[in-house]
Amino acid sequence: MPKYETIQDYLRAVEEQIRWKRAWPVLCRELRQHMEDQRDDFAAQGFADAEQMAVAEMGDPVPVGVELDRLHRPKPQRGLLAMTVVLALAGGFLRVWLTYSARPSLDAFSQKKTVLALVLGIVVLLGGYFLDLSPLLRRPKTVYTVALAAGIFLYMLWLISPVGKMQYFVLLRHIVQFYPVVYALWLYGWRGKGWAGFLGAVAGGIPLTLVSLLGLSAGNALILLLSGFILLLFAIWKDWFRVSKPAAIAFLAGLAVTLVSLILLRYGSSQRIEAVFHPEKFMSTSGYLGYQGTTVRQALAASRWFGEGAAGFAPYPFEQYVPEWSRDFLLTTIVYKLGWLPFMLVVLAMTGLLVWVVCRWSRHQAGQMLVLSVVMIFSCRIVCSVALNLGFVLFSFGFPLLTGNLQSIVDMGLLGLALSVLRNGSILRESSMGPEASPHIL
Amino acid sequence: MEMDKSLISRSMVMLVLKLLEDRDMYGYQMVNELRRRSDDSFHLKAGSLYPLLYSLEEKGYVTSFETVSDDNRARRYYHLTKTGGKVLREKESAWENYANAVRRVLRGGACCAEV
Repeated sequence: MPKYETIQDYLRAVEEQIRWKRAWPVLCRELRQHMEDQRDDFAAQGFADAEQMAVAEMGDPVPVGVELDRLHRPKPQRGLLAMTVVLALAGGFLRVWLTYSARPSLDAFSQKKTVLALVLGIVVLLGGYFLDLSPLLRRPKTVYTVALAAGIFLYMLWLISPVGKMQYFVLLRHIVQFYPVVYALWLYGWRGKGWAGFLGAVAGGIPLTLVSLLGLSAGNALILLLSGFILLLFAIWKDWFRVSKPAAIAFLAGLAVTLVSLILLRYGSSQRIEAVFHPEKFMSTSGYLGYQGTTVRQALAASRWFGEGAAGFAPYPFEQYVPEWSRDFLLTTIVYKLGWLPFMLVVLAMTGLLVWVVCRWSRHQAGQMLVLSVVMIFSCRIVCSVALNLGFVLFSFGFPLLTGNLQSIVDMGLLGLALSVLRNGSILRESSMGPEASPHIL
Repeated sequence: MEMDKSLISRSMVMLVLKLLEDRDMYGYQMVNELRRRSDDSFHLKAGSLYPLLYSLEEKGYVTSFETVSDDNRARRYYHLTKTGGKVLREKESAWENYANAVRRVLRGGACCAEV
């Protein structure tokens, strides 16, 4: 074995054996800390060549590097990537094909714009997939602050801009869709900090929810709240805050009851709730929701298992009768124009993608939290969008990878982040926490 | 007396999990603690310890987190998970059975063993 004189020499020899360069700083950091501790102990005992001795104590760096190389390799997620791309392409095709007859109205999706969105979506997906998430995990509070500031900044632009206001509004509504992921990182930053950490973690959800509401997106705020609660429960279950689990769950339950009461006070008039289940009673009296729900249900009632539904179910053609038929109600359009079976196939395919992601579940807690946040976003959207398209109209939700060009790009970005976690799982190690991190440390 | 290295390496998973049973520890601490508890018999090379710790983390037996110690140095601590605790108990039980069997053989058979 060649003689290694310094800690740096030793680490270089270890690094040479590890092919995944992104893993170098993560793995060598701990070896360096170990050798520095050993060196200082030898120096305290009066040895002049403390560093050389510390290096010698480590053994041969080559087998160490070889073993670390074996343990730390990126885990390619080609299958999930391919399935995401196939579903996005299918979604793009369905958007253009099903709305083709409406040309040249705004309801029809432009072929060129859809192709451009798909290309951009694939770039964003791959960008997310190859992204190194370690720096984000090291600075969760910075990520949180930047995301919050970006939302507020867009809102301000929307308020003060004399022209192009809608662009800022649309951008704001799409940016806030990343907030559950930002909140997952925020929670991660409060690990090991006791009750103060737990309360800080909970409090961080409030500004994010408010900014989501600024974008007039009750649906996005609802997804954030639901995801936030699930992520908090997950963090409590994993003992991240080192607080009494029953007490923390009781606190969350109290908060949930308060929030649900507030939401019901704001949105939950008995007439509005009844309009969700019986929209036909409110076709003309309860505003747009009753009309949307009724027309959708009428279209569904005229649909077949396979093939286009019966004509003449309404006084006007489907495209003129069902509102938002090419956007949020595109699933209804699939049912009416293609049949229930294709609808089920679309829903099952997207659900299958999510189940596949969950089955690949990261071993590392940081990764688990990030994947969970993405899975929550998509699960909520699948369930709410299907409910909406079956005529239960309360909030507006688009179906993942299907509804809208810009929305599909955002969806692919979110999936790219989740796949990045699965790819880089073995080196997703968390940031420093503070001396009070664990009561188990003596 | 120098221990047979193969004996140590075969029980290393159990020993490392055992060290983490009472408290979270970082790698350097584990090496020293193992040496202390074994009366200087077990000299675990750091180069063997870290790959082992990473594989235990991958299997979900331990989790790790980094924190700043009292001496203002960042260190990565390892924490035994419930799964890790279960594996430890299984390994301890298997080890007890094995050690008792070896002891009985060395002492001349089941009739003469003092268990």
